[in-house]
Amino acid sequence: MTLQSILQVLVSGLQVGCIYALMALSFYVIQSATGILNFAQGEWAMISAVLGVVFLPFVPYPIAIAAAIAGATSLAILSERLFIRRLESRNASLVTIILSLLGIMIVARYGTALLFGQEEYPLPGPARSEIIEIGGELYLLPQTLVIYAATVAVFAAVELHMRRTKLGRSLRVAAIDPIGAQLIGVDLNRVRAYAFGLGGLIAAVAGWLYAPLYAAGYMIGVVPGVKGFIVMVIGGMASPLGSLLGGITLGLIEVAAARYFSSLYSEALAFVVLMGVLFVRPEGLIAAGTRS
Amino acid sequence: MQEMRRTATAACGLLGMLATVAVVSMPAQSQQGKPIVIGAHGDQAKQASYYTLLYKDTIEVFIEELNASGGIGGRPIKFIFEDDENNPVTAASRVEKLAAQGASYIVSIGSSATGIGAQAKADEMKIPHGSPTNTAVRLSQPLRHYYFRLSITDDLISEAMLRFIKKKFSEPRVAVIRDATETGFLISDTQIKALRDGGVNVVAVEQITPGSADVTAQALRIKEANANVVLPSGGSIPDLANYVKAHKAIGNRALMLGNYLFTTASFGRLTGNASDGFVFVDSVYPERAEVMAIESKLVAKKGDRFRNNLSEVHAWEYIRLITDAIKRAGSDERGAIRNAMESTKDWPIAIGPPGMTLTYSPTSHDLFKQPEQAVFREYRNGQPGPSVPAG
Repeated sequence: MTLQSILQVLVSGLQVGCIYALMALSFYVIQSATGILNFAQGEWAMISAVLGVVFLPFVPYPIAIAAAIAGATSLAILSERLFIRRLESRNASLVTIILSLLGIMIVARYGTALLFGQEEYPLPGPARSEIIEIGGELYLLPQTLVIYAATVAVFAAVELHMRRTKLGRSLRVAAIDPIGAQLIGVDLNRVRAYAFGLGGLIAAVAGWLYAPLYAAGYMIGVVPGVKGFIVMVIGGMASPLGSLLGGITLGLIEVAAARYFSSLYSEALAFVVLMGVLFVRPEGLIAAGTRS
Repeated sequence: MQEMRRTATAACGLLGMLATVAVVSMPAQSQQGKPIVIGAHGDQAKQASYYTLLYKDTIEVFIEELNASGGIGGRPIKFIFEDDENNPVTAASRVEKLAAQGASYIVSIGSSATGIGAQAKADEMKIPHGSPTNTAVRLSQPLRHYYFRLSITDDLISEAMLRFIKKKFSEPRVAVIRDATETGFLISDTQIKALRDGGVNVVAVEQITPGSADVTAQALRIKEANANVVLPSGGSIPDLANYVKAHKAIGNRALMLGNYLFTTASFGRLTGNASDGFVFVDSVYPERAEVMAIESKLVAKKGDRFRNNLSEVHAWEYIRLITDAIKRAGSDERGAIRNAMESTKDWPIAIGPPGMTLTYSPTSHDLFKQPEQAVFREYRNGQPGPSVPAG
């Protein structure tokens, strides 16, 4: 175990962890404001990547990506407007709402397959694709640096937004006390639509960061979606920082287990460790830290 | 009066004869124009759908042409497809559904795992069936009475790989990198067994969880194991493409060797030039005139996604074989078709080396018998290059 190999684990683990953290944040903003677990989050990431591939041949890169992210975010908002709002107005139970979101997930996934085909395509990142080699043993993709920077920017923006803006604060108030929030003039419909939009936007950004490392295709939202949910639980619901800490922890454990133990069991090992963490701190990493 | 009686008797006799002829010929006439049903199951929308749908389209193009030229003995072919959701249990239930719809033959065009699920049910129901592309050995060995296959089996692929490795390296050290899918386990286990049985040192076995954003750890472990050959193994092309990119990026010079799945167009697209030098075992010779003719026809009818995707040749040849067997059987009765399939002898086929013919027998329902019948191809400039016979 050399210093170079430890650094490599850090570089790779942080990269993987950042993707998980962004997906977890996208779950968090919806769950914390509305109590709804939106399992379709992975699909907004996928749609953003697929739309990126569709738009790229016709317009310059920044426009294609902005349009792809906007497209995926619009679908997230539309899902809230067309389904969730109507179910809420009919006093549907939380289970019904979550089941309908699972339906949206399936329709989004296989609808994309029907519209754009079942094959995977490469989505270029904003930076060049040649690998950076440091000291002959440390390898770094320029896309990795883009992921680090974008993750920091998104988390900082969300944290500031939730603390400093009226809409951000209304998200927090609605999460803590929905009835009290209505009494002080918070429009819960608006807050819910906003939370779904913000969650969709963050997932769409995560899709744009993830696809250049993997591929763009109708199935690529599955893993980020599942891992994002797990990381949100691990991180705890006290603040967005829980998602960041949870994502990075899971990413680092997975990569370290694959590097130093065995890739055959790295996934299982990572989850055994995380189950141990949850056993000791059931409220999640950040909440437990806060309480102690 | 007697004259009239004789005439009446003769008329009655004639009517009786006509009625007898009508009754005897009734089944044949009622069959005339009635479609012959061929069923298929495969993955409509999940991980195996990228090839299932190509095979489905290929079969449809063939049947469209056949029906336009009068079908079989004046009877059109009706092709029905059921989605097996890439799930062996679902595949078995789809076989029942296809059988209930009157399928005389059932084709498995999904993964080997779903093929195995379908086979047990089709065997039990005594329906002739099989696959143009499934490679799992146990589908046809030991011999299954109702199962017929065109693809090269995993054991022959592994044997061809083994001979290639032994010829190229005096002291081969092989690493296997697989995706953690059912197909990945199935293929890699066969390869590892064949290599170990063949006395090759397997120095590392690494695994990728599907959807992994970074496989540098696996690539570095394989580099450190000092392997001179790496076998990427499985069915998840984006994950294996990711390994290929990482392998090249960290400067590993070990040769990469794969199976026919790497002909998939998305592999070249995702890896770009990182796949250059990647060698894979295939069973279709792209230079054969028959292969080029099938490819041109499919490209003309269904578009560019059929270009360089030569595994569809298997689907084309398989449906050609089934319809020929129905013709030879002179019936759409399942037992008769099975017998006609088994009696196929010296049947010219566009799969395998030039001049290859298909012969099934009561002891073998496989087209490929020898590893020498395989072909090796190498990626150049992100595209599969020309063939080199394994022999």
